[in-house]
Amino acid sequence: VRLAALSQSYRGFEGIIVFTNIEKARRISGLPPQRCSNIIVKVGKGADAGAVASSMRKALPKAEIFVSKDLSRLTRLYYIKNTGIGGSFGFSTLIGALVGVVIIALTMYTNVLNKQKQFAVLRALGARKKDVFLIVLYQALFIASIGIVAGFTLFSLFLSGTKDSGLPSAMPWIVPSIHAVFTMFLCIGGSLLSMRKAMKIDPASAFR
Amino acid sequence: MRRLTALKMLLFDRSTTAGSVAGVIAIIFLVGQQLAILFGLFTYMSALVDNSDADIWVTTKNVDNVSGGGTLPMRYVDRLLGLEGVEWAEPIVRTAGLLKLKGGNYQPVQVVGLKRPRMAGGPWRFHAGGLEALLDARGSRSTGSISPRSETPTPATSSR
Repeated sequence: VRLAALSQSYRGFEGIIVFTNIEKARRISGLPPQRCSNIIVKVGKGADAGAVASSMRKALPKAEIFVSKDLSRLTRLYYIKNTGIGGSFGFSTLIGALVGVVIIALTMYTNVLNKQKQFAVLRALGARKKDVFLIVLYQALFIASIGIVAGFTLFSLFLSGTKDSGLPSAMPWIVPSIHAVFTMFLCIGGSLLSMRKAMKIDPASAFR
Repeated sequence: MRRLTALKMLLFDRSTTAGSVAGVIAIIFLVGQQLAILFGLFTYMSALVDNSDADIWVTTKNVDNVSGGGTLPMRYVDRLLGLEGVEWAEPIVRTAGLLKLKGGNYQPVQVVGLKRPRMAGGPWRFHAGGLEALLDARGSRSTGSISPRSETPTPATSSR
C-alpha cells in the first residue's frame, strides 16, 4: 500500500493514523468481509442522540452503544489512568500553578511593602485609611491587567506557533477566562496580605 | 483621583512595577502553556472519536476506550439503518500496521478503513493529496506535524 495523501491537524495518541478504504483495511488486518471493528452512526436533524442510542441498545443488546462525547470522555479517562501521562502532566501543571500562586502573591506583597514610605507620605498629607486601601487595590488591578494582557498576547503567539506542529497544544475557550480571573484574584489577594501594614502605617514615619 | 495616584506611584517606582508585571506575565504564559499541552494531549487521545462527525459509536461489550474491543457483525449496520432517527450508519475497520519510511525505517501505525463513498470518520484537511486518495484504494496518512521537506507521500508504504 502506498501513501497517496497527507492529512493535516489529525494526530492520534498512539501515533500516526493511516486512513484507507475498508476493503484495503480488511486485507491488511485479515478481517473477513462480514465483520467490522466499529459502526459509527449519524442521527438525523432534530433527533436526540441519547434517545436514538437507547433504541439502539434495545435493538443490539450484545453491542455497546456510546454517544460520541461519552466515548471520547471514556477514552481520555482510560489513557489518563493507564498511561500515567495525564497524572504526571496534570501534577506538573498543578505544581506550576502553585508556584504561580506563590510568586504572584509574593510579588504583590513586596510591591506594597516597598511603597510603605509613600503611603506614610499620603497619610501625612491627609489621606484616609480607605484611600490607602483603594490605592493598593487599584495598583493590584493595574499590574494584573497589564500582566494578563501581555501574558495572553505571548500565550496566543505560542498557540499560533505550535498550531499544526508536533507539539500538542489546545485550549478550550473557557480556560483562559478562568486563568485570567484566577490571576486577577491572586494579585488582589497578594496585595490584601500586605494591606494591613499599609493601612496601619504611622503618618509620622514619613518625617523620620 | 485615587486611581491617578495609584498609577503615579506605580510609574514612580518603575523597576518594582516592571518586576511585578513580569511576574504576572511569566505565570500567565507558563501555566497557560502547560495547560495547552495537557489539553493538546487530551485531543490526541480521542482524536478518532472527536473528528468522526458521528453522533453514536457502536462497539463490542465492555469497552473502555475507542482502541479496544473486538469485532462486530456487518449485519448490525442494516439493523441500525432501520431504526428511527438514524441518518446514516457506516462500518469502520481498525487495525495495526507498519509504515515503511523513505530511509527504510519502519514505524507502527494505526490503520483505519472507511467505507466508500461517504468515507465517514476520515480526515477533512489535507496537506498533500485529497480524499480521492482514499476512494481509489490507496492510503492516506494522518499526522498533525507534517513537514513538507521531510515527508512526502509517495515513497512511504504501509504494510502489515
